Amino acid sequence: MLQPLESTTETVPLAIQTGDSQSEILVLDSKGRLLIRGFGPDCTFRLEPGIYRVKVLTGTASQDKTVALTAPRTLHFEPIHFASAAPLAGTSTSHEYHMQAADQESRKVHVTDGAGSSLFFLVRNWTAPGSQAQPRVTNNPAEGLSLYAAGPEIERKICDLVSAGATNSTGDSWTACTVAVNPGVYELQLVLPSGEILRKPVVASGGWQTQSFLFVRLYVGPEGPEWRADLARTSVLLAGVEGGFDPNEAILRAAELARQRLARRTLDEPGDNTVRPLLPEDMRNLLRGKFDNPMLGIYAAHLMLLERSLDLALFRDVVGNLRSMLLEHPDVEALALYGQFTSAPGVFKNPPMLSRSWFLITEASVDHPDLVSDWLAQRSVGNVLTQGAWHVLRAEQLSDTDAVDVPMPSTYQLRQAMDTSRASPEDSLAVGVGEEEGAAETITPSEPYPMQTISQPGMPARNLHLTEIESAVAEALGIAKRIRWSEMQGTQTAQQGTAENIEEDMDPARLRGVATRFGIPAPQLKGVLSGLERKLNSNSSVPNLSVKYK
Amino acid sequence: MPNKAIIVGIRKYPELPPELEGPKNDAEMFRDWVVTHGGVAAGDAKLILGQEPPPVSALNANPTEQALLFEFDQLATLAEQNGGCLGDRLYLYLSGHGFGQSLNDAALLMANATMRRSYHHIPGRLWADHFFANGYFKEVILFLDCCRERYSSALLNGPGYLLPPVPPAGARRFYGFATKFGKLAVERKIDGVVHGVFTATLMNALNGGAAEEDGTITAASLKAYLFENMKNFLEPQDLEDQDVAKEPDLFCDPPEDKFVIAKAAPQKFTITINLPPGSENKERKLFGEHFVRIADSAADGKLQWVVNSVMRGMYQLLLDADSYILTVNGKGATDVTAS
Repeated sequence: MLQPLESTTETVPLAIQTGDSQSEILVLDSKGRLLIRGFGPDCTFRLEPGIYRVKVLTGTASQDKTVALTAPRTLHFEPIHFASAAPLAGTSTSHEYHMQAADQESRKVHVTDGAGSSLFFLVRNWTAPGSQAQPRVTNNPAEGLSLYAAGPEIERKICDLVSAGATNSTGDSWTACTVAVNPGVYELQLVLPSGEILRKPVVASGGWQTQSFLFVRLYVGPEGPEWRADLARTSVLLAGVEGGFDPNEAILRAAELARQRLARRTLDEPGDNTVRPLLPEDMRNLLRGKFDNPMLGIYAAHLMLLERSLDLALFRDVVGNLRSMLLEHPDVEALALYGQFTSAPGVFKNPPMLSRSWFLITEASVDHPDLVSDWLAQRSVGNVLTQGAWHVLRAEQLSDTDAVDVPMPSTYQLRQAMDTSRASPEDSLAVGVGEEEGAAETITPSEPYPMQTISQPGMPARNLHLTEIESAVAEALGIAKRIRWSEMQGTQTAQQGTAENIEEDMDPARLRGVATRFGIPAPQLKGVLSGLERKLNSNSSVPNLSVKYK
Repeated sequence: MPNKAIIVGIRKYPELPPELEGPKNDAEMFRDWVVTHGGVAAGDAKLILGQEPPPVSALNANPTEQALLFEFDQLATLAEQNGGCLGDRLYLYLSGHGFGQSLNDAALLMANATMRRSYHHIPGRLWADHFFANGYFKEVILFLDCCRERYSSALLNGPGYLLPPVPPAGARRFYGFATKFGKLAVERKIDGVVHGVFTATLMNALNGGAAEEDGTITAASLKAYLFENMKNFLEPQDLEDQDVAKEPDLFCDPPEDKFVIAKAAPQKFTITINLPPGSENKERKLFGEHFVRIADSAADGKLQWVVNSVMRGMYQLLLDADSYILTVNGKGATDVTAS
C-alpha cells in the first residue's frame, strides 16, 4: 500500500535499473519538469516524496514509467531495441538473416590484398517487418562503393563491393565483403548518382578486423532518385581479425550506443546541458579495468573530451591502452594529442575515421604547424564533410583555375547549397529518417562549407574570382557581406578610390575556430587567407583585406 | 524598452510541395498573442506572410530571404543607433517549409525556394544568436515551426559571425524547434482550423496551459508543457509514424525556472476519472504536487468521479488503500493507470 506523506520532506531513494549501462535516465516531476539525470544500469536518486515520471533513453528509443514515491522504490526497465546499422541482437533494425549474413560473411575472405588485418563491410536495406512499403532498393545496395588504397603517391582500387562481395536480394537485400589487407588506412569511396565522390577513411589495424555496417539512403541524380549507402549512419566496430562479427556480443552493443551518443553530440546542443556527464559511471569503471574492445575505447575517450570536466588520469589510461592495442591508429593518435604523453603523436600522414578526431588534429595544428603531412592537409582543403560521427572527404577539389565568380547581389546565386546528395525535401522524406534519429548530424562545430557559387559567363571582368573555400571563409569571418556590397558599388568605388579596407585580427583562438570549422589545418588555412588577401587586394572594386596574426 | 517581434508564415510555395495550410493561421495567431500578451506594441510586431495567391513561378514568389534580412538589418541598425540595445525582448517566429542543417539549428525555406534552390532560406538560431550575443535585446525568444529533415550543409544567409560576441550579463534566450533534428513537423486540423501541431501546443501553453498556480509561465514550465503535450495534439497515425516528431527540441539558458516568458491565468479542467472496476464503493482521495490533497469523496457506488478545477500534471489517486497515478494532460483528458 502506498500512502502519501503529506508533510514529509525527507528524501526517499528511488532506484532505477536499466538493461543497458548506456541508457540515460531522466526524472521528471509531476508537472513534467526535468529534475535530475543519470545513467544505467543502476542509479539511485534521493527525492522528496512525490509523483514522478522516469524516462529511460537508449540510443534513439525511450521508455517511461510513473511512480508515487512515498517509500523506497525500485523501477526496472528491460533492455530496449534501438536502431542501428549493425545487425546486433536486441536492436530494432535487424533481421535474423542480416545477423547471420554478418556473422558468416565476416569470417570469410572475399578479396585478398594483404595480410595481418581485415576490413569487413555489410551494406543493407532495412524495412520494418510487416511493412507494406515497396522494396526501396532494387539494385545492389553496395552500388557505387569501392575500397581504395590511397596515399601521397598512389590511389589504387582494391575492389568494388558489388562485384567482390556476397549478395542476397531476398527480403531486404544485403551485400557483404571481407577484404584481407595489410595494416594501414584505406578509403571507402562512394560514387553518388550525381557523379560526386565521397571518401570515407577506414583504418585497418594489425590483428583486428574493422567492421563497417551501412544502411542505404536516397540520393537524387540526373536519372531520378537512387538508393546508395548512407555514410552518415555507418556503424563501425572492431573484432579480432579471425573472430568475425558476433551479433550477440554485449560489448558491441555498448560500443554502438557510445557511437550513437558521440554522433548526437554537439558542444552546445539544444535542450541539453553540456555540463552533465556524457559517459556512464559503469562505462568509466569498465575503462578503468582492462577493456578489450578498442572501438568502445575510442568512442568513450571522445565522449570524455566532450565533457566539460576531463578526468585526465582516466583519459590517459584509456588512450594509453588504445595506443598499445592499435598501433599508429590516426584516431587514437588524435586523442593522444590531448593526453600529455611523453611519446607525442608524430606527423599525421593519414586521415582518421571520426570527425571528432579530425577536429582535434586541426585544432592542434595551430600550435603545431607541422602536425599534418602536406598531402593530407592539401587533400582536406575545401573537401571536409562531417557525416554523422564520421570524417568524410569530397573527391573534387577546385583548383585556382576553377575559381568561380562572386556575382552582384542582384544575381547572387548559389548552387547545390543544401546537400551533397542534392536531395529534395520530398526525397528526404523517403530516407527513413527515423531509423536512427539524429543519425546524420554533425558532431563538431565544423560545418561543411556552404558556398558553391555558379560561374557567371559574361560577368564583368572586375568580378571577384574566389574559390568556394575562400568564399566560405569570407562568409564565416563576416566579411563576405562587405565584399559583396563593395562589389555592387564597385564602379563608383573604383573611380573614387575609396574602397574601405578590412583588417582582421587572427589570434590563435580565432584561428582554431576557423580551422576546426572548415577542417583545414592551420598552415593551409593561412594559405587560404593569403589567397583571399591577394585577390581582394588586387581588385579595385572590393576592399583590401589585411589579416594580422597574433 | 519596447519588445519587438518578427513573425513569418509562408503557406504557399509555388514550386515546393506539399501545400501547407497552417503557417498563415499560426503566424496570425502568434502575432495576436504577442500584441495582447507578449508585451509588443502593434506597430512593433512585423508580420510577414506569404504571397497569396502565389505566382506560378518561384522566381517571383515572396517573401524571399531578402525581406527577412532587411528586417534583421533594420533591427541591428536601430540597435546600433540606440546605444547597442533596442529592446527588452525580441520574438522571432518562423513557420513554413524548412529543414535541419545541423543539430543546433533549423532553417525556414522562403517562398522562392524550390527543390533545387533550397538556399533560399533563413537559419533561425544563427540569427537569434546574433541578436542575443550582440545584446540588441535582453531576451530573445525563437520559435521555428518547420520540418528538420537532415540537409547536410550550408549555413547561408546568416549574420556571418564565426565567433559571436559574448552576450551581456543577464541576457537570456529560449529557442523552440517543432521537431528534433531529422524529424518532420506536421500540421493538423485542431478545433476546426489547421495549425502546425507545435504552434497549436505552444499557443495552448502560452494561453495558460503552461502557467504555474501563480500565473507565471516560466521557461521551465513552458518546456515541460511542450515536451509532455505536443503528442496530445497529434493524430493516432502520427503517433505511429516514426518520422513525425512527437516532441519538440527546446533550448534555454539556465536557470529556466527564473525566466518568466509570460503570465496567464492557469488552465484548469473539470476531469472525469474513470475508476477501475470494483472500486465504486471505495473512498477516493486525489493528491497533487508534493502530495497536497486537492480533492476527496466518499464512495458513491459509481465508477466515475468528477473533479473540478484540476491543473495539468500527474496526480496520485487513492481508492481506500489502493494507489493509482493519473495524468491530466494539457488538453484536459484524463487517464487512470495503476502505479
